[in-house]
Amino acid sequence: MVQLSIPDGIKKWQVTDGLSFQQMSSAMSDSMQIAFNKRERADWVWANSGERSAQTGMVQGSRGYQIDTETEYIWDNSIWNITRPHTEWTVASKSISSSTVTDVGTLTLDASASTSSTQATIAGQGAITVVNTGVYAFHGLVWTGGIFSGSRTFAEINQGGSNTICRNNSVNTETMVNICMPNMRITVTNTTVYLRFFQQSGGSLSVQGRIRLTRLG
Amino acid sequence: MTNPTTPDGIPRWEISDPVSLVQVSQALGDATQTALNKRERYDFVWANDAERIAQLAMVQGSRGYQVDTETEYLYDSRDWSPAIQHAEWTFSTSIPSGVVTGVGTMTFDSAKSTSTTMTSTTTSGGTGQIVINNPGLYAYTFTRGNGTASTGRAFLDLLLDQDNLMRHNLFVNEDITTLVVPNIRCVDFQVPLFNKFYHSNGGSLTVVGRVTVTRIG
Repeated sequence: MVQLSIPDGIKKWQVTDGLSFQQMSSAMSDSMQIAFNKRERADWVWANSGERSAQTGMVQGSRGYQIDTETEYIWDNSIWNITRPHTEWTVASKSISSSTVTDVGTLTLDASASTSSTQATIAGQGAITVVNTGVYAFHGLVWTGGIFSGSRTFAEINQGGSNTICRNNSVNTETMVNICMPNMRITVTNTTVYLRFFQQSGGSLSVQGRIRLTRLG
Repeated sequence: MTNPTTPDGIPRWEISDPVSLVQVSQALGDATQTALNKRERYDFVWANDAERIAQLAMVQGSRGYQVDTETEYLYDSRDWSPAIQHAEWTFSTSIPSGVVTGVGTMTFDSAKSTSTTMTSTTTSGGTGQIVINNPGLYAYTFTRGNGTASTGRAFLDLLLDQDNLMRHNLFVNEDITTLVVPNIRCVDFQVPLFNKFYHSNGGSLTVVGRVTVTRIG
């Protein structure tokens, strides 16, 4: 008996197979149910990256799950990307005058730490433009080679240049300040988000840092 | 021949239809594969807002994916909302000195929220409460701004279900700070979270702020 199948394994028969209608229908129903079950969360499941790399037959939007790393992937018509977009930028050293809330320095995409280069673009010093609406986790880190010596020091996340949505203060004698917004809602496409730093006094201070952005949904 | 199809386009036949069993089985296999390819993880895929708005035949719980914004939507029997559940609340109140106090009446920010049912509010047990309605894992922020305490202590308190206390300090002379909990686990229904503020500046201090809640699992 020749049993052809299509990519999801649904059975098809030749005239010469000689099966009864009941046999064919039952086998087809079973194979269709299995196909639907497999489609619950992923089109393919791989043991490791070797199996994933060898995958064929995918179409744009196909999803797969890699067991050894417990990671879900999506096919973008050229490569398998990790499903959840994540982007990181380094922040170059910049001298920031005291008493002024100032955008941190020049950003550079850290491609090796990122799974997406398109969810946000660099918009200037300390600024990224988030392309699509959604909910994002944002992390900013600012540090100096010396210590924060002013009477006030903080880092803040700012949307659109005027809306401070999150701020974290640092005690005066620290070298680093973290700021985290685990659920930043963007309601307008191409919203610019700024990482800013402030030191009340102490003259100019060179600071650098890192920005991390992950889309949650 | 009458040829009705299922909602996913799977063909069906009347007993009187002049088709062979092999024709039936092959047509079923091909149509099912087409339906699976279209479905991927979603019931619908749209190019843009206009296609999504024009969608018909959805039922409560239907999911769709909008290509231009790379956003997944969920239909609640009335509206298509981004599938990730997110809610924001604002407050503004006067806090007396020396008393840990709820931050006042919570006002729902519908423009920033994607879910009207994930959270609710009540004044039973004190003001400043957000109630998380379902068990799950949530990202939470509590940002307080306005009004600078120039002396003494100041802090934000977040109480999960009355007894699990998280605290974030506000330094003297600061006006804005954010308490962040990226992974609050609620194991019961109707879990209240109390948002409170304390200062020892003397007199009353008017504070305004925002609470954000996102369900991440």
